[in-house]
Amino acid sequence: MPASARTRLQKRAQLLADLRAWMTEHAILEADTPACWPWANTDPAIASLPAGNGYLHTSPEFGLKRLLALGSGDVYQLSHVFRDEESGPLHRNEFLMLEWYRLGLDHQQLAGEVLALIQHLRQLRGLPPAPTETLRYHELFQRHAGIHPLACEQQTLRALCERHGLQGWHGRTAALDFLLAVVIEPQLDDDTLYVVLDYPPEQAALARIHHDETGEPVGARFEVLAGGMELANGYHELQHGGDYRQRFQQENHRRRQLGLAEMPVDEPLCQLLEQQPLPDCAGVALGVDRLQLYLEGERNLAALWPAALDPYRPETT
Amino acid sequence: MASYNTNEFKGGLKILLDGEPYTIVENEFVKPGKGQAFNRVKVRNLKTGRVIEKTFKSGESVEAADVFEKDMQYLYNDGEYWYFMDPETFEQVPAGGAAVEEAVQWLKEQDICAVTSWNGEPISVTPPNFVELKIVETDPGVRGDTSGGGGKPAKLETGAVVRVPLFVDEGEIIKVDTRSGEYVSRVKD
Repeated sequence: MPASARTRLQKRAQLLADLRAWMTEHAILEADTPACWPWANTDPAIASLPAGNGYLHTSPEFGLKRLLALGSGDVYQLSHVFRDEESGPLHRNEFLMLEWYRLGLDHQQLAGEVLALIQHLRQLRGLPPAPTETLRYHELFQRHAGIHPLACEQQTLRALCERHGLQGWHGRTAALDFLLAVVIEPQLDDDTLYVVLDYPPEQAALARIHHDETGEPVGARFEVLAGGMELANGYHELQHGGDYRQRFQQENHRRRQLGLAEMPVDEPLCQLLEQQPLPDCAGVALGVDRLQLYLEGERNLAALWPAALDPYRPETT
Repeated sequence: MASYNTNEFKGGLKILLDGEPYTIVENEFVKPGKGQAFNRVKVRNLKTGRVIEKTFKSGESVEAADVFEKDMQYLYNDGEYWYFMDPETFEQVPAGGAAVEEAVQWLKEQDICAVTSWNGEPISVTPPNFVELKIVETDPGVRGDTSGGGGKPAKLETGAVVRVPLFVDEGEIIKVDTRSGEYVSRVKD
């Protein structure tokens, strides 16, 4: 094996070892839940890969939430997850995810823990601490796109999207996604770790809805952005089975509106959480491949593996 | 009308945007983690050559532009149109001034050019990379000076003006690189 390929393998192995060591040190238990289920993620923005009579998981969330309801305490899983219809320099159908849950923490506190973990990994690699910045979702847009994402007139939003080359109008949420991916992320500083908090309620996914100090409802969700990429996404988690069922149904309804196939709802999870609600906790999913890109200053997933291990090698983009 | 889904996007694909034919230069998939996926593309307008950036919602369909490129022989100009012939079918097509604008100063009868057509009409013409043209006007040659230093302007039979070395004479045929507009060599008969 050439030295360069061996170095890449060693870097990967070291990162996995460092992540596991950090989890152990913080008394978070490793879990190993199934990757294939008869039910699927209903999120309209995430496409599940069919496998046999079911679907491959898009994150270990539903397995880990079963454990939490059963009283596992703090848990994590380091596993490959699968998403259909995603390919590009920063997107793959299969990627490694580190997901963990912390009892008694809210999303802001867990965001702080994610930053602490990344700073720890930088330190182990001889890198100086990264600058950090915490912004609310609307502040991110005000600063880097010049608009308030919720308060601005639709006409203004539409004109701004058109000016940046968006073809057609696909609604407000899609317009904000477009501005985030095409206009805002490219402007962010490469080294800085950004925490974005307080998402619009329709982007809350499975996070609780809080009210900010002006009384506006906001999704208790955070993301960590760095190097122009999203590294992590976390929630102050919903607890009750009825709330889960309602969100799943809303998402399937949204799928129908978008002309997408509805996904089979994880009804057994809803029922379990009706009997034994999730403890008060926050959870986060961290993309390990992108984390490695960030730590190594790379911007293409193809940099991480020896070419022979890369299923995408013939058409590197 | 034929159309392409965004998941078929790749470099070289010809699409129709706002009624104009474009070719995709670059295609990138972008997506916020919990958000809508997009295809961000760089496209070149096949008529003007201008490159712009556009973003499509992934999964959308875009109309295909009926564009093809073919090697054709340049025949003649009648003052309004430049006529090209398909060497296989012998069909002749007229190209307007806008289509030949960039190529016209290199167009010599009988030369084979790449003609891009949209809906059957030529929209752009690319001359051969190298053309051989006769010098119709230049200062007298300086014999023995083969250094090529400095040079002088020379007008060619097609109207193009290129810089040539001092030793080159009127009436001589030279080889020119049409991409840079630079003199390459003398052509000896």
